[in-house]
Order: sequence, then C-alpha cells, then structure tokens
Amino acid sequence: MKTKIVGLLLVAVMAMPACNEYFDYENSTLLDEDFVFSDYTYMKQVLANAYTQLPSSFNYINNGMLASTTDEAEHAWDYSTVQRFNDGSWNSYTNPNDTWSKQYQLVRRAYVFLNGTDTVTFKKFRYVDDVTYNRYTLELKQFRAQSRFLIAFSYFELLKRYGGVPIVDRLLSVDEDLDLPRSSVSDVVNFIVANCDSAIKVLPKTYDATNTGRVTLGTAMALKNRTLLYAASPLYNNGSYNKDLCDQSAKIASEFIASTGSLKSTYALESNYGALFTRKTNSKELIFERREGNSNSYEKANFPIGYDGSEGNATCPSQNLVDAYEMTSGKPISDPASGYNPADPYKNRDARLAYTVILNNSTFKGRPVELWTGGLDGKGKEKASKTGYYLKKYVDDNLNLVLGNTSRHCWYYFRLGEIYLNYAEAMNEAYGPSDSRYGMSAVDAVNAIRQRAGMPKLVASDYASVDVLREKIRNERRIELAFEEHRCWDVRRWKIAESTLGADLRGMDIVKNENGTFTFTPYVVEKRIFEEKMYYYPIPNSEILKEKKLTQNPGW
Amino acid sequence: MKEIYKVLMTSVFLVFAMLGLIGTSTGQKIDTIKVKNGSEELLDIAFGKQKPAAIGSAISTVTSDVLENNTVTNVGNALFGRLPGLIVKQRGGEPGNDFPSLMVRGSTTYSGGSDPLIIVDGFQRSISQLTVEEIASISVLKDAAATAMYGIKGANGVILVTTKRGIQGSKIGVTLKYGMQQPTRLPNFINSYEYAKLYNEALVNDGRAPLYSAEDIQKYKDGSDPYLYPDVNWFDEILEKSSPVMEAGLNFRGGNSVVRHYVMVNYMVNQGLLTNTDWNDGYSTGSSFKRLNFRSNVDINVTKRLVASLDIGGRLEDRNGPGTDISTIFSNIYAYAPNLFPVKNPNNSFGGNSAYQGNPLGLLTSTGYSASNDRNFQSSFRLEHDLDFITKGLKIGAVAAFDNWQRSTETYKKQFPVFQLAKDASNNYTYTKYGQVTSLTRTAGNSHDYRTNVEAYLDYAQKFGLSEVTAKLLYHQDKYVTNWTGSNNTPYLLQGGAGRVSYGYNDRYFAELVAGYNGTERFPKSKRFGFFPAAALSWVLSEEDFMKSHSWINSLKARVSYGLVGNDDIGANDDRYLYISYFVNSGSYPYGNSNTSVTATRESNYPNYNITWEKSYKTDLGIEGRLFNCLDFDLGYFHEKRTDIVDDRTNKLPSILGITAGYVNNGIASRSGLETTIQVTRKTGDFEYSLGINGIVTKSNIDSRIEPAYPNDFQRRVGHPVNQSFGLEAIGFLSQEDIDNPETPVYTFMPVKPGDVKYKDKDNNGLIDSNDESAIGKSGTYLYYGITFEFKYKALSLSGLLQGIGGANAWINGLSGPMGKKAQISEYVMNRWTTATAETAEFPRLTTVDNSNNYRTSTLWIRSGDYLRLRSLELAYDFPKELLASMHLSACKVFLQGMNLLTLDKIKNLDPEIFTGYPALKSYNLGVRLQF
Repeated sequence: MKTKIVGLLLVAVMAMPACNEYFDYENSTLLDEDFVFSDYTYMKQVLANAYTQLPSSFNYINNGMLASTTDEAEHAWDYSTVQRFNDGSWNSYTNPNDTWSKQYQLVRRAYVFLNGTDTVTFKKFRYVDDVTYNRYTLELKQFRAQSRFLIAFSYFELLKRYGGVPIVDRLLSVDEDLDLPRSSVSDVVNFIVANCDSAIKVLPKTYDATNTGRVTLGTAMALKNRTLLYAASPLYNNGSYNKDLCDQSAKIASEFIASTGSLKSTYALESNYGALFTRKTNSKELIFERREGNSNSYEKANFPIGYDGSEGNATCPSQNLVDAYEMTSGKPISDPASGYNPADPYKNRDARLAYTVILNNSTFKGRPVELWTGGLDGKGKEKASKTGYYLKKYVDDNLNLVLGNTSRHCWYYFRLGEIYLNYAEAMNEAYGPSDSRYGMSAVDAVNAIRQRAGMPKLVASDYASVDVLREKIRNERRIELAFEEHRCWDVRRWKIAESTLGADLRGMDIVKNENGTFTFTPYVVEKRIFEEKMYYYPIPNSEILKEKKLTQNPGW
Repeated sequence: MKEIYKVLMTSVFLVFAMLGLIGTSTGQKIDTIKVKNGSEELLDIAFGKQKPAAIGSAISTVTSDVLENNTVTNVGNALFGRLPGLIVKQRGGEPGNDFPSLMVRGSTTYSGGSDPLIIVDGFQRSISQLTVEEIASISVLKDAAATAMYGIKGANGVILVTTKRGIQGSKIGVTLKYGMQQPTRLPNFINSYEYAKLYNEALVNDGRAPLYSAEDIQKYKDGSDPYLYPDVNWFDEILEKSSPVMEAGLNFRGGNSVVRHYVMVNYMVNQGLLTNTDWNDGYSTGSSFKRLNFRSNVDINVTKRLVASLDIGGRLEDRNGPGTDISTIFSNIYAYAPNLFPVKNPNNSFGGNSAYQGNPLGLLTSTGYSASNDRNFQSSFRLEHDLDFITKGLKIGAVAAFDNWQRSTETYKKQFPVFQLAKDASNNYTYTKYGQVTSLTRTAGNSHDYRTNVEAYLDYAQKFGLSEVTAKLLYHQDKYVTNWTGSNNTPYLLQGGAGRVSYGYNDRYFAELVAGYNGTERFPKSKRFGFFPAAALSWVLSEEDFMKSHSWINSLKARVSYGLVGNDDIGANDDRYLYISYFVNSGSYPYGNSNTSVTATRESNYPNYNITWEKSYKTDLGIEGRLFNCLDFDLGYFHEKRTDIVDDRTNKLPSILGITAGYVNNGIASRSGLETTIQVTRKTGDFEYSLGINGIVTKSNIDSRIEPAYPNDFQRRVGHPVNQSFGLEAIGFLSQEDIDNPETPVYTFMPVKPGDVKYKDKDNNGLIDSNDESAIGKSGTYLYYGITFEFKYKALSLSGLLQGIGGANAWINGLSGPMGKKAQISEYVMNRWTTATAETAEFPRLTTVDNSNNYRTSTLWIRSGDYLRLRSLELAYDFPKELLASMHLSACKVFLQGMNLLTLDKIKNLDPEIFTGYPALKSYNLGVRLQF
C-alpha cells in the first residue's frame, strides 16, 4: 500500500511537465517570414531595406567625398581617411571606400524580397476588393522588378571598383559552398544587363508623388546605358573602345533623348544648370536619385569656414578642375586667344564654374567670400580651404546653421545630362562625330548640354576627328558632372588615371593687395600617388582569406 | 601573482596560527565554517537545507549579524569581501541606482552573460528589493554539485538569500540610523588659466595660431573678469559637499508552537548629492530616493503534519530627479571646459553659447523634474505535509509564488535659454539668446512585470543505523513577463525538475548525487531540455580514530565534487531567439516628393536551429576545519571548463553571403583558482578579538574560439583570459629624429609629429597598424580579497572590513583626450609631452584635433586598477543588561559606522572604481539598535 502511494506521488510529480502545454511555446511577437510577406506594408518595408543599402554619397568617406580621391578636389581636413587614396596608403586591409560587403548585403536583401514574394498572390482581396487586388498585384510585379534593378545596381557598384566579382544569382544559405570564384567582367556586365532587361519589361515610367525616388523604367534603362558604355571603354578592352557595345549603349541613350516610345515625354533637360542642384527634387532631368531627409550636415561640412556653423570638413575644388572650365567664348583658357586673364581668372568663365565652385570674392549668403590669405574664409584659419575654393554644388545656401535649419537633399545617381554625354561618347567612338543614325549626332548631343549652360556650340575644329572630339566630350563630362561621382570611374575606364589622379593636385594662393585687387598664384597642394594597380580596388584581405577561390586583383 | 598569493596566504595562515596560541579560545562559532556533526543548525543548499558535515560542495554563507554591521543603503554593498568567491563591484552612488554588480568566481564566458542566479526564499527574485534588516543569511553556491539542481541556470553560480522567519518567544526590535554621504574622490580638472595656456600650446602643436592672448590668460589667472573670463568648477555648482541618509526600522519576531511570525517595516530616505534643487515652486529637482520595505513571514502548524507558510514582502520606492537625466548632467560637466562660459551671466541668466547650450546648472534646475513610483510585492504560499504514515521521513510540499513589480513614471519637462555674453564697443554687455523657455510638458509611463513560480516536491530523510539517507525530487516552473518597452518582451519561461540523493555513513563518509533537468524558451522546441548531473563526496577526517589523538585538530573535513551545469544566457538580450528566422525593423528609406522616410524591415541574424546552452564542467576540491579551538579555515581549489560558448561565424563566412551569419556553439574557455578563508577568534580576559582573511585568486583562458584571420599569432584571443585587453604597445614618444629616420616604421593611423605616441612594430613589417595589437595590461590573474577584524573590550567593540583587488587594469584615456571640443581636461595632462619634457613625459603632446594615433587603445593609457578599501568600520557600544532591565529593554546597541573611508590605490586623481558619472560615495552614520 505504502509503496503504491509513494509510487503514485512520484508519478504525479514527474508527470506535471507532461500534463500541461506550458512549455509548448513559440515566440509569437517576432515578425516571421510568412507574416512579413503576407502583409502589404511589411512587404514594402523589406524592399525599402534593400534600398537603404544604396550609397549615400554626401560626405560618406570619413566626412569626405569620393571627389577628394580624384583631381576634382582635396579634402580640407588632413586626417580624414579619404586622404589615404591620395597618399597611396590604401590597401587590401584598409580601404576607406570599400563597399564589398555592403553591396552583397544589398544583393541578399533584394533576393530575400524576391524569394519571399515568389508566391504572394493577395488572394484574400480577390473576391472582396477588386481595386485593391489589382493594384497590389501590379505593384508587386513592379516591386520585384525594382529588386532586380537593385541587384544590377549593386553589381555595377562592385564592377567599377573591383572588376569581375563572384555572381550570386540566388539567396545563399550557410550550408552551401560559398567559395565562389570571380566571374569575368563581361559576365558581370551581362548579369547587370539581364537584370535591367527583366526590370525594364515591368517598370512604369513614373510613380505618384509619394513614390518618386523608386526605380523606374528610365532608371533601369539608364543603368543599362551606363553599364554598356563602361563595358565598351578602354580599361576593359585593351586600351580601345568596343564599337559594338558603344552602339548598344547609344541606342538606349537615344530613346531618352528622342523622348519617344516607351519614354515619351518623361525626361527633359532642366533649363537652368544651377537650379538643378538646389532643392530641385522633381526636375524632369532626374532619372534616379536618393531622396534624403532633412539635414544640414553637408552644409556644416562645406560652408566656407568663416560662416557660423561651418565645421570645416570641406571638399575643396582643385585648380585642376577650375582650369578645365572654358571661357564663355568656348575656348579653353590655355588658348592664347581665349582672353583668359590670370590676374582676374574667374571673369568670363563657363557659368557652370560658379554654380559648382565658390570662388574668391563671390557673394555667398550676403557677403563676399574671403578666400585670400588672412581672409575670413582663407588660409590661416583652422580647417580653411586648402585650394582657395569651396564647393557649391548641392550646397543649400539658404540654411542658417546657427538656427539649426535643415533642408531636404537629393543625391543624383542618374540624370538626363549624363545620358546626353554617354550618347555623345558612344556615338563618337562607334560612328564618329557627325553620324546621326539614332536621331542626333555626337556633336549635337554635346551642344545640347553646352547650350543649356549658356555655352556656344562646338566649332568645326572641335570635332575635326574622333580623337579631337573625344577630348572635348571628356572635358565636357568632367565639368558638367563634376562632384557627381563620375570622375573617379571615368578616368579609370578611360585609362588616363596616371595623368589625372596621379597628377599634382593644385590650388590657388590668393593675396589681397592694398588697392583691393588680388594676386593669384597657383601652387601645388599635394603630390598625388597613383599606381597601375589602383585602376581596380583591392578585394578586402579578410575575404581573400575566407575564400580560397577568390583571387586578388593584380598588384595588391 | 599566483605565487605571491600563495606566499601571502601561507604567511597569513602562520601568523594567524601563532595569534591563535595567544589567549584562550572563545569557543565562538564561525558562521562560514562548520564541520562538526550533531545538533548544529542546517545550512542552506539548493532547494533545501543540509547539515554542514554532509556538504561536499563549495558553499559560503554570511549571516545577518555580520551584514548589519555595515552602513549601507542596499544589500549589495554589504557583501564586499564577505564571501570568498563572490566578486562584488561597486557602481556609482546615485540614490536608488547604486546596487553593485555581483559575480561568482569571475566570468568563464566571453559571449554569454555571467550574472549569477539570485534566489530569494526559493525563487529567482531581485535581491536589490530587500533590505539588510530582513535578511537572515546569504549563501553563495559555487561548484556544480551545489548548483546542478538549477540545471540550465546554474553555471554562473547561485546566490541564495533567506529572509528571517518567526521563532518561539517574542522580540521587538527598533533600528534608527542617521548618516551623511559624500563623494570619495572627484576628478581634478585643470582650471581656466591652465586650460587657456594648454589650449594655446595644443593649437601651436597643430600648427595653428594661439587662441588666447597673454591678456586673456592673465585675466583667467587673476579672475578679474569672472563673466567674460570665467573659471567654473561645475562639481561645486552641482554637488553638495555631503548629503543626509536616514533609516528607521521596526520588527516583531516571535510565536509559539502553532504560529510563528516575522514582521518588519523599514523606511529609508536618501537625499542625494545634487544641490540647488529647490529653485522651483512646487517641486524639487533633487535626486532623492525614498523606500519603504515591509515583510510578513508567517508559519502555521495547521495540523500535526501540515505546515503552512505565507510570506509577503513588499517595497515602495519614490524617486525624484531633475527633468534631464543625471547621466546627461554629469556628461556635460565632463564635456564643458571651465572657461567656456560663466554659470550665470551678470543679469542672472544662464551662461552658454551656440555650441554649448547644456549649462549643467540649467539642466539641473530648469528642465523640470521627473518622479517615479515603484510598487513591488513578493509573495509565496507554501504547504508541507508530513507523510510519515507512509514511511517515516517522507514529506510532500508545494509552493506557489507571485511577484509583481510596477513602476509609474511621470516627467514634467521644460526647456531654458542660455545667453552668450559679450561686450560691445561701448563696453556694455550684450546677450545672444539660444533656446527658449517652455512651459512644463508632462509625459507619463507605466510598466508592469510579474513572475509566477510553481514548485512541488517530495522530501525524504531517514536514518538506518549508522547510515543516513536524504532525498529530494521536485518539479518547478517559472514564468516571467515584462513589459519594458523597447526590449523583446515576450515571457521568459523555465520548466523542469531536479533531484538529490545523499548518503552518509557513520558521520564520516558522505556522498551526494544531484541532477537538474530543465529548459528555457531560448532554444529550439525539440532541444530545450538539458540534463545536468553532479556528484560530491565529503570525508570528516576528524571523526576517524587515527585523528582523535591530535587534540589540536578540532575538526577536519575534505570534500570533492564534479559535475555539469548550464548557462542559458548565451548572448545579449536581443539574441534570445537565435533559433528563429525572423524580421526586424531597421533603418528607413525616403521616397516621394517630400522625401518621406519609410521604415525598413530586414532579416534578423541567420538562424541556428541547433543553438544550445553553454555547458560548464566544474571540479572542486577543498579542505576545511578548525584548529587549536580558535582557527577556522577553508582552503579550496576549483577548475571550470565552459564549452559551447557562442561564437560569431561571420569571421569564417564570406561576405558574399550578405548577412551576419549568426552564431554557433563552438568556443571553449576554462578557469581555475584558489579560494581561502582563515579566521582566528580569541579571548583574553575582557578582551576579545577576531581576525579573518578570505580571498580568491583565479585566471581564465580561452581554449578555442572562431577568430578572424589575424595575420599574426600574437593577435589571437585564444590562449588569453576571457577579458584580456588588446592594443598597441606604447614605447615613448616620437622625436623629430624618429620621424626623419627612414628606419622608423610608417604610422598608418594618421601623419605623426614629434610628441605623438611611439608604438612597437610587433610584426616588424615596417607599418604601425592595428595588426600590431597584442595582449596588453595585466595578464588576467585576478585577486579579490577581504580582511575582517573585530576587537571587543567589555561592551565596546570595533569591527570592520577591508576589501581589495589585484590584477585589475584601469583605463584613464577618457579624461585627457584632444582639446578641440573643449571638454574638461584632467590634471594628468600637466605631465604631457613638450620639447622640454620629452624625456619624462607620460602623455602625448596636446592637440585640438581628433588624433587617431595617440588616443587609441594602448599601454600608454593603462594604470593599475588595484586597490584596498576600508569598506566598513563600526564602533559600537552594547549597554549592559543590568542597565537595560529597568527600561524593559533586552538589548541596546549604539554605533558609529562608516563606509569607503580609506582607499589605497594607484589612481590618485579619481576613484579607482568609478571614473565618470555619479560619483562613488563614502558615508558615515550614527545609529541605535534596540530590542524589547
């Protein structure tokens, strides 16, 4: 009897766990995949997460811009890591602009979205709310196309930095073989083009006012256009252009320029170059942009140092760039007939100069900018410009930093102005200066850009040959697209980095004379180092160590 | 270090042994060491009590009479140096937020949590909710045999807290205390005069023009213009020299053979050190803390066989503080140089300027206030029924416990303007206003946590001739629900069972087998439960006939244990669900013509469907006893091997995966050490004394870990202690010759100048970079010890405790960084590098710009963090019984107590434990303890 009772008690104690479902517990507040992709809002947020990995290029390299790694500019603060590009101390361990893992994160996030929405049907709306059902279904297709584009964009970011990279064409799992070899440049190009093509089939021309900034049809075409032009460039083709790829690139650009067919009345050049970079967030010239929230950090960095609130992280435009701007006559300053006066160097210059660069004694926020030695904004002040110039492009001079004013900023990834220049370059290389088989000649395309800036058309001697026009187009591109993250890649794909990125970075020493005039003396700000290996970025050493099949770029 | 410790302990042992020969034994029992058999009181063990001789595991206990000798505002501060193996670390003295951190024998994991499990009257509860008054004893369970019944929660050790219960008879106690608190040490910042001079020096070092003219500097020096050339000591503006603390308690303890009770109330007010808190009508901005504790523990013999216990403990807390976080006020004090602006301008407005608008006095007095009220209750109901009708010695019991914790917070915030002062051409003051006055705006919040425990058990104890057997079998579940916003607030669950069987023979040989089987929600459904067995043996040598002849050995016991316990706290709180693939909101992306941000949602970490708890294999050996009838000792050795420590796979997986690859159980770490307690108690006539020392010396080692592919072996963490610091080795300062010398390695952090820190190129590759970082600072052998003393002459007694640590690093880089942001600078910088002091300098050249060469982790910034503190001291007088009888008093003790009164250390300018924030405190109080 007693043993039975003891036995029963034992059973009772031990059975307790079994007789309730206390522990049959699974967290219910976590957002699981099924829920996220069955909820319209969350689903969109997953896509937004892929967008967040797009580059944000205002002062993103330790307060510096990519422009400061090129002959466009020098960073004001000596110790920003962006300087490593200029003193040659960047390497596979330390690369201030390394984006390897960031891009692959974007790729994964896009695949997560694609995988998750593979089977989403919004069936539950089908019979109750046709309008919503149709809208959701359509939008879902567009969202998936946006993901495809973002993958392509990410690979383009990788391509221009590292060359051929491993192609990830699906959502990876830790359990599979992750030791993927690098693909060739042309495979990566084809992969980008294929993703663009699949997006082009689905994407709309425009969105409503709450969805601008999303990937459009034009965005995908613009990436394809630029990718093909890059792929056609000397760096990837043993020093010369690939005419076939030029033709393919030009054909796409022509659709933008003609404004017919699928892109009918979608894009137009903004009439005023300067206005394009000040709060113009709905210009018809914009093809793809990152629409950032309210901020003033770009202004804090770039306002001349004598202005209240300036923190002195300026990207200082170089004399090298300033010299590239022509006279209003259309002649380069090197031309003795141009009328260039070294004692009054900013007079009668291409209007884009003053829209891009803050020049000495020009009026900014109600007073002249004092860039001379001893001036409010000039040498002698802590963190003053090192070149005698401050940056104007994208800077919102309406902000009062003391009051903490902020404004919306947009970083332009693609705009129509670039497409014209892409077209001009591709047409000139494929068919010469004057061939207009796609509706416009290379010369006409350059002229369109020049006219908008108030510059005269090219004269016959400017396009006497493919080679002569090539230099014109490249210079036009340099000044039209300055500080928009083109120069860094253009000089690489043109294979002219030794003479550009490697050239002395020059500035202007300005002295104010007693009679109120200025004395301008160009001087070398920095000796730049560029070695052949730097045409490509090094693959991060940590990745080389993790992947046996991953080979390092030559020279690193 | 270990050797030093051995020598130290041996000599202490010998000294004590000799001391023991002077005078005669008191015969007093020492709480921590009891090996005698017989009728002694039982000691607390996991889920029960056991007689001391039978305990083969490592347990240390401290009882109420020792705890009460401290002047403390919380229980934790009474534990410094009291229990060998319990490492107590002080935090800042902010009222109501000053509970120290506790750790048992140190951390053996580099990923998981190392907090011990704290059990109050049988269940996991907060010890900080209790007062010293209501605690009967606190025990630390250290080895596997002691904690195996807690299974998956046992690896970090367990602290068992038992509250007082009723007794037969009747006692009424009254305690009154009044005391003062003041900061131990505040950092010495340099004054405006020095600051201006040094700032100029820094500018010149940076190749810039000096900012302050000789005239400016003179004005800072003579203080002739305190408004435009101020010299502010913010601590003087914000802190009182001292602040009062009061405590009053009343308790009733008694009962008869049917009902026994312990009832108490205890009230404490701590005003806090903030000053100038009464500027506002209707509210104070002081950081005060008031609490009321009460407890009622009642035991009732319902029938001859059934005992019911009902325990209710509660605590009300009222906190008040300024509208701005105290931490923000303190960080501004550290961030604002003395010459930035005056505290107040000539027109009585707050000083400030565009970049420095957070005038600390303004934040304290003019940003409103916040008040919070906590109400929490711990209650449990226990029934235990004797089953002697089934078999003698068998009992069944059940306990349910309900704990509630509620906090309501109300904040009334406002803003205030600061005015930048200047003089215009006609020499009048001008004011530029920054900020606005606003009216108070109210925000309120509420949070509510609760915890429910259920336990049922069978208990058995019986003797059979020379043999004795005890056994326990139990089921336990615990659910903890918290609604703290912001964290992942799904319930915390624990469920499982545990068992223990012990066998003793002839009061000499004891064996014990224990095991826990439990699991928590942190692991995949099918892999939640773990089995954690342990065994212990003890042998009471002094009962053996061959020992009986040694009359100087009063008692002697050897013990050994081995077992496995687990730690489910494998990572940070956010990592509770490493096995679930889920999504989290993270970041945002703007779309639309007005650039409107849309929340973004991403995958969480890559899930690991096999994630499991850390496993800890613990070995423990010990010998304890009493010699010469006056010397108690306990010497122990322990070793722990911790496996399945969570490692981050990211270091091994290619980035093309595109996600942090998540965590795997992989790492292995171990820890070993020695633990000692020695105490001598003697009496000579009316003079009585007791001296004790206890301590732990221990070292950990990472045996295996997934690491990044370091180019150099010396960068690897494996082979070093779990808390090893890594950094560069500073070897002086660079001279111009160094910089000109082509042999000097290239400094990659930034271009260097004379006076910058010179580092050793560990890998000899001609580059100074992060690949030269090796293990720096002390090697990780850690010593934590307490020295107790008590001298008694008739009714007068003096007792106290010194507590110290050895092998600790202190990092002083926080207070002497670049001057560009115009933060306070410690007096340390007076010993900076200049061309004149190049040979003797301790710190690099001054600079105003961020300097990534000088201010990185390196040996330059390490100092010894060792200290020895007089944690507590009590002078007491016990009134003679004859005197008290007429007043119906059975005892009356008057005492003067102090805490943190003296400190020996190598950090002169700062408190060795607390560098920033609310200061560490020392305190004094006067009190009386009456018993009726």
